[in-house]
Amino acid sequence: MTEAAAAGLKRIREALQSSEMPELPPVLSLAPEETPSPQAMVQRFRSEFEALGGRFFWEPGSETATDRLSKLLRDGELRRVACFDVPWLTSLVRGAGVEPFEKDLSVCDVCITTAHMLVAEQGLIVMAASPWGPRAASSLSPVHIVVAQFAQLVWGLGDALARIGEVIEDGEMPSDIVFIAGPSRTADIEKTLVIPAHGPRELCVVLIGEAGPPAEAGAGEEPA
Amino acid sequence: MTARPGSDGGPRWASFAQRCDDALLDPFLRHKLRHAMDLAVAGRLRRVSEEPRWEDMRDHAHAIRWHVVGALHTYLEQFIERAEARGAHVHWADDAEQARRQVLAIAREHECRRVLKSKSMVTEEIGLRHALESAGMVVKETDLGELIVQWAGEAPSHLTGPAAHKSRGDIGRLIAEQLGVPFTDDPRALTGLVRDHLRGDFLTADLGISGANFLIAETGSVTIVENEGNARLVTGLAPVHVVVAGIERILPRLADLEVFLQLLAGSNAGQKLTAYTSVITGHRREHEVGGPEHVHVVLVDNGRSRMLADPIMRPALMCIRCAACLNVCPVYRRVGGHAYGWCYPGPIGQVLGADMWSEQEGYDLAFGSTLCGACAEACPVRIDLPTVLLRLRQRAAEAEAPGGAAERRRFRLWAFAMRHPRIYRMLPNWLLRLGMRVAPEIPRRVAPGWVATRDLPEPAPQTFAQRWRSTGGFSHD
Ligand code: SF4
Repeated sequence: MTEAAAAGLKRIREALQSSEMPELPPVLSLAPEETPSPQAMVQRFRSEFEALGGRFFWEPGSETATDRLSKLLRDGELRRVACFDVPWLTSLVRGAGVEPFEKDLSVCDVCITTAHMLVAEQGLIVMAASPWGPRAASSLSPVHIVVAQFAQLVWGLGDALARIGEVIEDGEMPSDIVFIAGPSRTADIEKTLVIPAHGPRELCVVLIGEAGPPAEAGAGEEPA
Repeated sequence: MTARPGSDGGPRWASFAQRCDDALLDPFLRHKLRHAMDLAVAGRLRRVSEEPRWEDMRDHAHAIRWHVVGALHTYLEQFIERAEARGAHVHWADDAEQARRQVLAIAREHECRRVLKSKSMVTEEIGLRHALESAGMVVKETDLGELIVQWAGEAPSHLTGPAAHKSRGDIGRLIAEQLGVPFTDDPRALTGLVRDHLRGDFLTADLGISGANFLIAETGSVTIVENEGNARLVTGLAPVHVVVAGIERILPRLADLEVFLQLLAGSNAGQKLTAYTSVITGHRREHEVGGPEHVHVVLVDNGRSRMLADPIMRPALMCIRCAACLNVCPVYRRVGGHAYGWCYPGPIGQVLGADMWSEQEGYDLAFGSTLCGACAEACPVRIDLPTVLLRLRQRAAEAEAPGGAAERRRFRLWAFAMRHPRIYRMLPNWLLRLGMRVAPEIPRRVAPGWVATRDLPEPAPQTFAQRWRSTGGFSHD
């Protein structure tokens, strides 16, 4: 700690001297009383994410997910594909007929990543800095496709924060975690909603599996 | 000295009342503001009505913020320790001047010349952009509203919507002129133009400056919320990231974010969450791809520890800058942000400003409020802003500050009338009516400011008390 900081803290301690300090309340739990069923979780994620302007696809397994990806790339005429993420994902994307991967995010048509987590209650995508992809993976490309396994879906923001908390206890906190609620937007001109602002114009989530990662997806890194 | 409009060679500091008068003469301003504020307020009310736990969340947020403010040194110490353990350099600035010098020194140390900023009120508070520009750096705002006001050579007029005072036509002309493109006033096209224009800047900047919505003591993290994605690019692409944050913006635990992120986004304009929430902890780890190599956090006191020691002002440090109190304020909605004369407008700006500028300006700002209570009703952390304003007025009266002396005279007159009911009853009735007949120029003499833009109506033939008596009081039972 710098000397200036220590002096500043001392001043604050003095400013607070004569006042009694109220207790820190425990974290307020906003979790529902009953854990929602897998179906309810996916339904909630879909409705929230679509309301934010995202496109959602639910695929039973890796094979149909690969088909979905090829269709998305074909329909959107997305040729230069960036993909930096975990091995199970890259093999899935290769299966969709993409090779080689574009390395420069500023010129690609689409960036395909997985997510750290998905949050059903608010339709969030959670991404964390990792060895596999740069921070800008979720910001620079015109289209961002997130492929996630069912095990990555949690109910509420509180659950997501608690999971991150477990990571901290294990040691390192990633340098960057981002919670994404739909494509970037602005309302700075007469409060008119415009999508996109600086992020992707299109955000898609392909969710694989129903009650846990399908067997064939377990080959590579453990997601999340 | 803290920078404020007028101190950079602009027009001289006029009184709050004078600036309000000027703002009221602009008929378009009121129209533009009403439109924007109505949408924001409607959004918040919709969000509140669909969230059964909203009031619980407010109670909880109040309890946490009041606790944090009362134990600020403990949490700051924890934050500094943990942030430094994760490789961030934490600096402490006693005032605006120190903060500017520190950021400048960081920029020089890393030989930065191209600087990008994301939206941050505290950097407005300390006048950072001018300081960096005068040192020869190229500094660009990246939030659309901020960039618009930077290009217009103005200050932001709202905590979260800096260009709330500008119409699409104003903005279209400005962008056409700045970028040398044909005029359009279509928000979609204008946003696209700015997106394309800033892309190259994002990829080549060597210093990114952001504010912080919350500092997390438990993890030493900085939390930034935004909708446009510009802060993601400002904080993620440049090799150096500087965070400028007020010392009061602390939350104890990562888990506290669940409530605070929702309250902030919901109170501002009714979003469940903003499009991007970044939780940044130190610099890039060795195994990570991308992210800045150097992260600096400049903690700014600039009057906050003084407010902390002041029981009247301490509640104001709970503020999370959501702008809900501006959006509902009948004064803000008519005069706009520039009338307040510094970067923080609306009820919270009056409270902070009245304290901050009391030595130079008296407690002028504390008087421009109807004390209607709308701000307290909207505030997600339940700051009782009207009571703080009232206490500041009391302080002004006791200090014989200019605004206070006039207030005291008025209330002495009022108190006299209240103590003499006969005189009080006579006043509004025949005496006033007679007075206005014989000497219609009197109101103009007594209250020239008031009648300049208003008619003084003749009093009704019967006073309320007379009608009350003649109808028998509660006549409905
Ligand atoms: S005082 Fe309350 S309502 Fe106003 S900006 Fe601060 S937190 Fe929001």
